[in-house]
Amino acid sequence: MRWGVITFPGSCDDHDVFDSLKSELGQKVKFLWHKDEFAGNFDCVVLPGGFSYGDYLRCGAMARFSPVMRGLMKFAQSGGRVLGVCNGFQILCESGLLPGALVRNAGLQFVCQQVHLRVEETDTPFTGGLKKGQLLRLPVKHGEGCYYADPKTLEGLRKNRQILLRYVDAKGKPTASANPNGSLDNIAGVCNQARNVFGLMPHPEDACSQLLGGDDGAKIFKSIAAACAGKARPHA
Amino acid sequence: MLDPQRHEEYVQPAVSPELVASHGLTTDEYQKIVKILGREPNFTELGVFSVMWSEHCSYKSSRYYLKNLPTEGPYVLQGPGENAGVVDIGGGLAVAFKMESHNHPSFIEPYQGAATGVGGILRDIFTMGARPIASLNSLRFGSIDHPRTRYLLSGVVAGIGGYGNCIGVPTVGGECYFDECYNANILVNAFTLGIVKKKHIFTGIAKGVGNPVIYVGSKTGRDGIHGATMASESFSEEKEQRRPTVQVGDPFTEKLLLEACLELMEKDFIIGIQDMGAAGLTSSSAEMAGRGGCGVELDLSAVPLREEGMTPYEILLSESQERMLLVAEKGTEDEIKKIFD
Amino acid sequence: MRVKIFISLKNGVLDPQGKAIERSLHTLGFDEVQDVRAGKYLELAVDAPSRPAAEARVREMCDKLLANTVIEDYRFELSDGDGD
Repeated sequence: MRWGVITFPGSCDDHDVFDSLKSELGQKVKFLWHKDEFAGNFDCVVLPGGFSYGDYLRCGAMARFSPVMRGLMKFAQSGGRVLGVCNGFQILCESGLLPGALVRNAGLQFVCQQVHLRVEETDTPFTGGLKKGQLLRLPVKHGEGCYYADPKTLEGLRKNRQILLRYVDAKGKPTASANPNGSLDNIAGVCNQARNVFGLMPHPEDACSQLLGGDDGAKIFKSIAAACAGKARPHA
Repeated sequence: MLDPQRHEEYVQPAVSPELVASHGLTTDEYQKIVKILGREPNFTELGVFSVMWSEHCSYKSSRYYLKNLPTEGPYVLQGPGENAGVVDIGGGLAVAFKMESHNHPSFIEPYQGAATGVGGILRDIFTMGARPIASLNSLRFGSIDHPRTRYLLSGVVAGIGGYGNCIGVPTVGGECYFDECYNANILVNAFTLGIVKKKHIFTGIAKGVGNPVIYVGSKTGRDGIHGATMASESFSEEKEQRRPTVQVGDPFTEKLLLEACLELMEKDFIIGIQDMGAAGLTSSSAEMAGRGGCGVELDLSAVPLREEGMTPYEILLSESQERMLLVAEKGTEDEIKKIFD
Repeated sequence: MRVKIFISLKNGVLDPQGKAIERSLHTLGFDEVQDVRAGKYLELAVDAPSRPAAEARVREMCDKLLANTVIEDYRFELSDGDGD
């Protein structure tokens, strides 16, 4: 299992992802630099959180035009697994690999807290090791994490079962108060139709060790690792 | 760029007693300058002395109290006099930390004032070779029902959090009090702690005759130039808009600077490095030279400028953010340039 | 040619900034205010052989980078002026 972590100028969580995968999960990880062409054999590539290019125009708007993204698009289109966390999720939406967009939190405030998430679908490499309805506890830290999609797109997401995680309360109910940022339909993470690209606002890399308050994040990484070990990448 | 033609035409205003007073220097201090130089200072030199001897740079009035604080111990690797203090934590590791105030700028423009305070303290930490991992703050605001308090509080809090967040350094705690004695003088203290390998600690020192002095980071503009000079009449001919005295932070540039500096420090190219903080180029170059016991030659026409027609006075005193001065081993210039590109 | 570009959130997309500004205006006594929308304003200069050519290029810029058409609408104004 070979992981790649892309470092954009302004990425902040690239080292967190790298360390969690390497030290906590014993995985092989390599950094990919935004200015380089996408090269190497990877089973899964992670776009980490942060403020790529300062997020100056819109979150993720400029990162999608980095040299490394050209190759990543091809990698994703040929079935390679791509995980976008926070700013990485924003970049995936901006680049069109995922539907919808992330806008300013409804409360206008930056949120930094633990949230409960409900696993909605398990037939993806990212959630294959989890149970439907299972609750995860992960941290969020963002100012623009309010998921938006137009009604038609949202309908498509529901029909194709692309909503993988929802913000819920401790009992597993998707209430308004459990929604930290005003996301449509309490959406915390979605995948593409081919189910090989997944973006989420919460940070699994910051929840990979009991010492740091929880290891539910590791369950997502372990799912991916298991899926990759189970079968080779399709169309690769 | 500074036009050489114009540069020659630039006539420094005469140094009058009023100008000396507007620079916040006392008659005694002025006499000391004359004694050091062996002549009257010119306008630019006056500016340099005034910022270096200001409370912010010299701690001339608070030094008396600071002396009472403990600064030595078996685990202290670096006491006062450097960009930050360093304490040994064992296992080959040390922590570098520092606290600094940004009271006045925060009172004028709370968001940018507080944000650039955090930016400055972060730079002081990573110039020591340490990766910043956590920030704290200590805040004092005026009475809760004072009309300005709410505005100042929300701006300062957003500025501290926003800057730290964009760099990826969390603000992990702080303390805050309200009292009417702070109505017209809020206190904004930012603290940052970084972690560093003991053998990789850097300091702000300039030494080795012939080694290059390199400027990295953002361009120099007219930000934060000593308030006293605003009042001086010498600039009125230029018919410019009121110059900005509030520095504006660019956390994105700082993040790039942080990563580039830490990458550079992995290699053995750097002799000394320092942030161009308060009193910018002046204090960084003078302090680095002072620690190394040598001189530094600066070619001001080579300083990258953001605005046209800046005078030597302005270039030396600018407090534009996200700039660093480093002294490198001769011959490593190209390698360094590559890292910062 | 000088170009002024106005970018705003599409109708239907939650605009918490606009809402907050509207509330503040109401508290200040501007009760007549409604439908506040917050957006972005950009200015730039383009070198183009003709007005239609400039329009086409600016539209391309907006679609590709300056606006995210999933959530944002844009409009722009062209005026003659120095392209430098």
